Amino acid sequence: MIEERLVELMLVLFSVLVVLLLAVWSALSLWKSWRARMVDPAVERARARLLQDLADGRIAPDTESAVRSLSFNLQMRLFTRGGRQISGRQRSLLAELARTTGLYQRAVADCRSIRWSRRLRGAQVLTLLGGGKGAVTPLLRDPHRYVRAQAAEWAVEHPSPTVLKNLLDLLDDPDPGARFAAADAVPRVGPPVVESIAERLAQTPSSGSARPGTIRLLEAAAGVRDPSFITPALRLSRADDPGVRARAVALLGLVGGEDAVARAVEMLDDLMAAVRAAAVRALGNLGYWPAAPAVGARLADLSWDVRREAGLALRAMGSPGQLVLRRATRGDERFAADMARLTLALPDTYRPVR
Amino acid sequence: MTFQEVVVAGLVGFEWAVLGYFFLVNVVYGILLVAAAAELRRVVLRTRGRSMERLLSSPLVPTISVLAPAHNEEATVVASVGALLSLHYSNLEVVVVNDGSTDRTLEVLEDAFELVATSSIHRRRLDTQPVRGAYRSSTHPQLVVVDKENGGKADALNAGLNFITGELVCVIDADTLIEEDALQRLVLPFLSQDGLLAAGGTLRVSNGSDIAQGRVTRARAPRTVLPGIQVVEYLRAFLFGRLGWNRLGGNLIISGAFGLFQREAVVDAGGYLHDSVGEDMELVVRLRRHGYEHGGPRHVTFIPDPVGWTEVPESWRVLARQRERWHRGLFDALWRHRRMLFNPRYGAVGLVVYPYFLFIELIAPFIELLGILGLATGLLIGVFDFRFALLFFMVAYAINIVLSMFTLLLEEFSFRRYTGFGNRVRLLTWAFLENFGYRQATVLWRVRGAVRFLQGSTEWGEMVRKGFDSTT
Repeated sequence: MIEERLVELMLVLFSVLVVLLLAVWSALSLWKSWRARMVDPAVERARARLLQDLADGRIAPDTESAVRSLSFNLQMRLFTRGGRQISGRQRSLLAELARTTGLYQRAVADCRSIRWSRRLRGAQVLTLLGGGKGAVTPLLRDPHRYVRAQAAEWAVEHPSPTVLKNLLDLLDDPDPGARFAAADAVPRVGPPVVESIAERLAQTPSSGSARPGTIRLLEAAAGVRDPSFITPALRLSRADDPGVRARAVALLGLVGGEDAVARAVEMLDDLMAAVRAAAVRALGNLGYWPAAPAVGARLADLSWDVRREAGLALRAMGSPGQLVLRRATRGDERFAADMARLTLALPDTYRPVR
Repeated sequence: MTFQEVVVAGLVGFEWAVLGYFFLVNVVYGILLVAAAAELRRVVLRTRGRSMERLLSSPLVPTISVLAPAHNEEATVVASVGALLSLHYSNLEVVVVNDGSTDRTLEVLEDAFELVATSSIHRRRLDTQPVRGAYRSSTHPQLVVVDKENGGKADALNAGLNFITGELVCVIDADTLIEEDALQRLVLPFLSQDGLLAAGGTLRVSNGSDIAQGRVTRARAPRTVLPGIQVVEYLRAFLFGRLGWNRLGGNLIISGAFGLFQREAVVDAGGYLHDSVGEDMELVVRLRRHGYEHGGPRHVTFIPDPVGWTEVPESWRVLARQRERWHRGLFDALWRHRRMLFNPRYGAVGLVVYPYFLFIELIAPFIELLGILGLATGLLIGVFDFRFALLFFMVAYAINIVLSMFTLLLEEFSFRRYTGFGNRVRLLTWAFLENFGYRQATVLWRVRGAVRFLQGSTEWGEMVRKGFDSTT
């Protein structure tokens, strides 16, 4: 009968599946137990030796042998756990050891793999150890987003003109994660990237809707905050897109200068609340106390976010700001009075979540 | 045909239909499992060797407010809040809402964190029960405690939403312990995906594990049946269920105990509903629906890597209440948003995700119960023989064992929280035992939950907690 056949088939299938799974599970458990007994202690011993040698300033032959005896996967694990907390001479020692054991060469080879996970791993190791310019630079244009993002992190310490160009191009990447990685990396490059950013800002249009890349470029510029950004920031503070205007005034607030301050004060009357809030915050960042009355007027803004930023900005302006806040508590404007009271109640140790 | 023959034919036909239903259910589970394995592989490859230190200092990461409602949590709240304050995240604010506790929840917080009364002025975008006061810690200025009159969890969450300032809000239960770097991991999707509404993390069972200073220092599989089986259940639900949905249209559930949301999206959608027992699931469904209807963010994702640890019931009575409530909540959420069913306006959510939750998650307990009753009847009156009963059992339960084993293997190949041979053997044992009594009990509880929903019940029941101070 069909039922009997079905039952037998199901029984066989089920039994085979369970036996297979049990076999896999048992093998895995045994392998893990073996690794915990034999391999993990070896990794830990190598790690302890390595950390000691790094502290001593030289890599002993025994340590080199201990590391070399590990597989490349384990070496990567060893390096990625210990390597992130070191820099300078110790990092150079680590990089030298990686070349001696072949890990560095393996990472370079991985960057050319057809598998994205290998390319990613290669880029991670080379980010940690440094070097590998020829292997990692092309990864800034890799087809896989994770690899591009990792290459952006690597680029911080390898700011050649080609790398910088590709890194800045990543600010306009279709993938949000790659854009973030680039925006986070650019400020850490430091002075070498200033000129390139200024050029890009000068070329950025102020009309029409903003591209995501424009926003990230402005964020990156805010991280670098060079005075050469003032002119394009002033232009972009008049952009059609409120997001661009907001970030442009934020940039002005970080760079400073008379023109920046004057423009930020003008933008306190912008039509968009997000822009007004950014203008208020910019003035607070600058600590520009002559603007305290103008900022104080924003305590009565229709937007809660603007009112809150006004309170925090006045708090950052020191005594003049405190004076405006105390006056506001006694004023007729209820919103302003409430926000002033809320701000004055903040403890000295409070830092706004930004 | 005689009446008896009709009954027999009907019973046989019905049982075959039940078998067919469970066969289809397991096919869907199989698809989810394959999707979950692929997704897990991607996650593991992505996070292996990844440096999280950048996020600690990057000025570009969104600000996060951790929101923890607390009601009568004096046993665990200090440890929980202490753990929240030591989370590794730079732009962090912690807001605890004391929802009219009748024990010493507020007092223990005052003592432990040197709370000082501060202005309770806040942006009242969501209506809640009155706020009695607000306190800020003098030792941890980023900690705010809001004291309000009791209004239930949803009300407490809404009150917290009125106070927080972060762009993202992490909603957790006060008795959930989350790992130090959990927020760094949970924020990653918001950096790499546009239009993301929310991200959920994995919840694991803390019962039996070593805990010190609000952190799970070593995961152990419980030695007792009830929490042990729940470990396997949670692993299945998170590692295979929710992860699989990442590839198949996104999740409809983010656990109320551990999730990260776009604050403005939650407030714009009206916050948490007071009259819903499953307010966490209902919110996610509403957020997604709102996104589709208004062209806003609409995606929800699940991250297997950040982990929150929670204490699960160790008594059948408390567990039964919990599972009933969960199923009532599911029914409630699906009923409120029933217009999404098979509606192409809601994309994959309407065409795939919602139907799954309706026809499989919601209805399956009824089908299973009727199937068991029909089988028992058939065996009693001699319509079915042992072979048929075995066939039913294998399709309904044995495949569940296989799925659980696959899940345990996924865990072994990915995060490996349970080290040691003893832990693995215990998990395997619980995976087998689950289907002999426990599974059937959950069927009854879920059916009861659905019935109670239809009767209009909204009670929560009490959760009995042992606290996290001792290692068990």
